[in-house]
Amino acid sequence: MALVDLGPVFVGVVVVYFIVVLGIGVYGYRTTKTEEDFLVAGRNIGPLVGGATLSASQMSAGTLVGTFGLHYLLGFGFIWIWPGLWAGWIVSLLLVAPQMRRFGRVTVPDFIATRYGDDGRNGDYSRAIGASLIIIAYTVYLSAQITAGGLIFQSLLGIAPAIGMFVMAITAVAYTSIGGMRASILTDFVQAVVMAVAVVVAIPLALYFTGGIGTVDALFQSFQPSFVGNSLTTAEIAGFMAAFGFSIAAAPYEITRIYSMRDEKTVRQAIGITLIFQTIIGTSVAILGVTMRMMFPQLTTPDLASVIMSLNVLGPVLGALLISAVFSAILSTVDSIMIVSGAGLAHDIYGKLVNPNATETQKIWANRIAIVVLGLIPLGLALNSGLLGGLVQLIVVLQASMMGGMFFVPLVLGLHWRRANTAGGVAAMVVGFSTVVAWHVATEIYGVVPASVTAVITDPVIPGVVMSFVAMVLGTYLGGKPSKKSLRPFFGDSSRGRGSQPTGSPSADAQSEAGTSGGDAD
Amino acid sequence: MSFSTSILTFLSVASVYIVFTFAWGWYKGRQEQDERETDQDAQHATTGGGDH
Repeated sequence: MALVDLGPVFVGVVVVYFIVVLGIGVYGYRTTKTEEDFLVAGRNIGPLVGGATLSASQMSAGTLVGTFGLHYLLGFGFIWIWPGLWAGWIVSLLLVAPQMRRFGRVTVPDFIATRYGDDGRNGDYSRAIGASLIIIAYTVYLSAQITAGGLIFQSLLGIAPAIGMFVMAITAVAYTSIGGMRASILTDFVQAVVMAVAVVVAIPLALYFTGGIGTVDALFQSFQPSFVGNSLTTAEIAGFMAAFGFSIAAAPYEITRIYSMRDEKTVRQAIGITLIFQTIIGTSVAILGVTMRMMFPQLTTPDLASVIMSLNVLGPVLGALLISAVFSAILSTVDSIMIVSGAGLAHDIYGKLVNPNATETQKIWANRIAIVVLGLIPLGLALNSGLLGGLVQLIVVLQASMMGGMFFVPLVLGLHWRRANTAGGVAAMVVGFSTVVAWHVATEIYGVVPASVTAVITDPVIPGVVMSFVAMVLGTYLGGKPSKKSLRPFFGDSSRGRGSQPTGSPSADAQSEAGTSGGDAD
Repeated sequence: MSFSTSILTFLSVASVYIVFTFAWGWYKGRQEQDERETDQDAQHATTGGGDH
């Protein structure tokens, strides 16, 4: 049965929303002339749009549906997950994002192939390892996002999940393959603004219906004070900080957005702006979750609390807008991942390894075709959920930890430790990835790790990063020194000292790639 | 802890993150600007004052 009455106002708002999204796709198509336009939006994204896109790609439907439901269920205290999560952005601000923007390429494997390029094949092996793992992990993860989209369609509109999955996947494939990163980022901006406006406007309405914040407080203080207090312990918050700190700072879909911004200053401002967006949305969702518990204490499915609020508190237009924001949140996560996995196949595998002499037009179309293919494969997996058995569930649960375990140490040490070499970088990637999977299998499937250990080590990314670090140090000291060519884009000319600017400009990079300034390896 | 106090506590922590982020951005921006100016001065001195 459908929760939403498909009245003319609701249908009108949703239709306008989808027209805007597809219009943005067409605008992206018209402004895309090169692969750099397609994959990093011509590198002209400013701080406001940049901050919004970081927010939208991080906050999926989980924020408006799952997190909202958790506040409804557990109370206000769950809000302390946000400072844990923001530790990731602080790590990124200090150690990763501005440095990656200064490097200024297109994908994370671009970084891996350049910094860890002393593999006898100019970084091809390192690139292939990084790109392959990204493509596999993200393609499977997309199937879970599409499945979630189908289930939300079913809950709201009462239609078969397969139809919802098909609509979500085809819409995302359409505007992303047409408009590339520019379309993806601009739709993220629309989504973040819609999400923020909808939840902020809902607060006075919800407080009006409940009699004000004092009434809410008095009610819960009388029988369950912890519901409106701070229920997470410091250890739990520290656990979130460790897990998210590694995963967010090294997430390839966030780094691709970092590449799209104008310069390092813009990157730092955008991180500040995403924290503002997340504070507004996180606080609003927490307050609304608590007030919804007071208004509707007997909901059997807490995940539907935000939808019930949309229908009963916000009124037809704002309610439809919030439901559109839920769909939009799924789409923005799907398009963010799609463009990164597509780039892994088209830019890293096809453009760099298979056909390095491809023209710009060939590269753009390779990216479009890759997005279509890597968008339809997850749709197939979602429609046939038993196809890969437990592998889908494993990757869905672990994808963020896998990326953190695999890329955090190679990124941070590659950017800040001159001695780090190719043997160390590749070993760190492989060992970090393997440790995350092994830890998950040992704890969740075989249960061989004592509970006292898992109470402290709350996420597989933590042992993954530790072992990755050990592998990096061992590999580096067992191998030779890195070549000057692999260091120059990150540390500049060694003769000019630490303060010198690295060669991050496209022209310098192009020269370096052509070998005109890169022949002086140790 | 009252609901209002919980909200204000969270917003205070959030504002620490936000202020730190912008302050760090401002500090690094100035540092990079100084480095650029130092590099330009050094380049200027090497080329003998350029077109003065």
